[in-house]
Amino acid sequence: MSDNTYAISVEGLSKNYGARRSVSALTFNVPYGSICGFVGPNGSGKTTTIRMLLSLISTTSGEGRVLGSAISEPMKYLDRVGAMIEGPAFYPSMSGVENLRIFAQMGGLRGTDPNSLLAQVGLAERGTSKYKTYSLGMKQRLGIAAALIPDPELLILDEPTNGLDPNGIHEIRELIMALAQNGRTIFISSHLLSELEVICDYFVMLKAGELMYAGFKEGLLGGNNCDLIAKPEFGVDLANLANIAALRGLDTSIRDGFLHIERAGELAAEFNRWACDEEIYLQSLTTSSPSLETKFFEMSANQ
Amino acid sequence: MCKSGFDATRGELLKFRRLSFLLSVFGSLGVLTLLIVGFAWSRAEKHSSSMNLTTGFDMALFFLGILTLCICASYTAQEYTYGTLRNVLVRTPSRQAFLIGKLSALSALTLLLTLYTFLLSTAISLFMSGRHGINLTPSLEGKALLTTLAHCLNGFLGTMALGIFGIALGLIARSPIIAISLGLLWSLIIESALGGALPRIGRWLPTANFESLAQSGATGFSYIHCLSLSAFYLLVISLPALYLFKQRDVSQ
Repeated sequence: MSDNTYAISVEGLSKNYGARRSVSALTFNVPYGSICGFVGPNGSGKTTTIRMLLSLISTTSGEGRVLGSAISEPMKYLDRVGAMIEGPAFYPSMSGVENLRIFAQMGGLRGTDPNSLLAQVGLAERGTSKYKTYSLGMKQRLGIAAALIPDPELLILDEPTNGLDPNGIHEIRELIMALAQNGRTIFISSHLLSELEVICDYFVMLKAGELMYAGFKEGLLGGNNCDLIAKPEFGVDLANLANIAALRGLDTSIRDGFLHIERAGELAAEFNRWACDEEIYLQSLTTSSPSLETKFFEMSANQ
Repeated sequence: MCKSGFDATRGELLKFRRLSFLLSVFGSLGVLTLLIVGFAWSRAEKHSSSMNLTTGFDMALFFLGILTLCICASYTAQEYTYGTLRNVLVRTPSRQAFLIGKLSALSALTLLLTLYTFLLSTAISLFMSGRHGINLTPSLEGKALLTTLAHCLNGFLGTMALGIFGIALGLIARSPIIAISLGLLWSLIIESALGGALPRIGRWLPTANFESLAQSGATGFSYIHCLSLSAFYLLVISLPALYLFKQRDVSQ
């Protein structure tokens, strides 16, 4: 495990609750500066893994490093980590400013300006309102503001868009992307796969406590392995076009007047040439990657 | 550890810097003290020798102890119910530092409440004593003053013992309502029932010892007996609480 390349690095990490194994021998790395989506269904061990990374619970076996330090020594890295775990949690009868001041003081960060943190997450105008009067979206944003208290190198967000309406989800997405601009590593777990697909460039996928995938987005969603979708100028040429692809050993299917050629994204130019050679001219030729959701279900089914 | 404990203490103290909290705690304690001490003096006979400067304070200490137990239990357990403990522990990596902060801040609050009760009850006693022809000023002079101040200090120790009992219950129960209920059930009902049914064991029960400690050793209880037994009981309740606090998954 390298200390310099990865913000998070775990090897054989496991957690048992009695006889039940919650997380099973996880091994993955998260590169510095990435926005990593931590994906998995309910009960797949995401939050347990996050708790272990933050040293809130002990590990059963395995080891991990966060920002180069072993998770058994949290005092060496927690001052550089910001986290929101299982939703925002604050003192309800205190204001946003008071809550942030308390958490900053607890961490010995007396120079923290709660108002600038609140401005950063778009809560400046409600800073003096009591936390219990906040909407769910405002609570989530305050949770992110609290995670930003130490100006963290690594930001760990557990379900930051939980329970938000589409506007709220959009706002949080914009906020996360803005926070990632200065090279900060963001490790974000969510059920909203479409959201993660937009903002993340790296993924760690779990199922039933086991690792399904860890790597860059391109490796997961296709890159050169994406599908090719072609539409001939005349509909009658569709079958001939399919035949051209099939003769070269490609898997094809015709759907809604379009020819889908599986994993042929890198052959786009060549396929266009083959069609022209047969005097079939294309009205459109596009590539299509599988969505994260499709990929997730596909991988889940294969396991 | 020293710095993080200090930071945690300052963070905890910020929670008390709320006007609504201070008004409700000091207001209710003030009214209770006024009623209790005033009632005690109103029933006293003229020129009675049974009333002294700290009689009212001793009576008010019982309610101060109950209030402290409730505050300590509530302030500890609510970290679980609000879910703030996980936020706190991500900022204060050491659980020891968190506990040091919690204990120090609650001790400071208890000290303030004890001093407030002492000053208020003393003022009421001085005011009421004149009406009963009792001269209390000698208690404020020379060695008697030192004894009076020592009495106040013991009042703090006994009250804080109940506070630590409350903190331990908060850590074990993880719910303010359950922690407070358990504390009150034990202190007000179970101990009273046990003491009533079996008077011989009364002197060995925890809350009775804490109260006697607060009163610098009550009738039939030596000060050392109260102090050592109180320390023993606090150790007995604190050890499992600390063990559970260390072992439990605190992020839930």
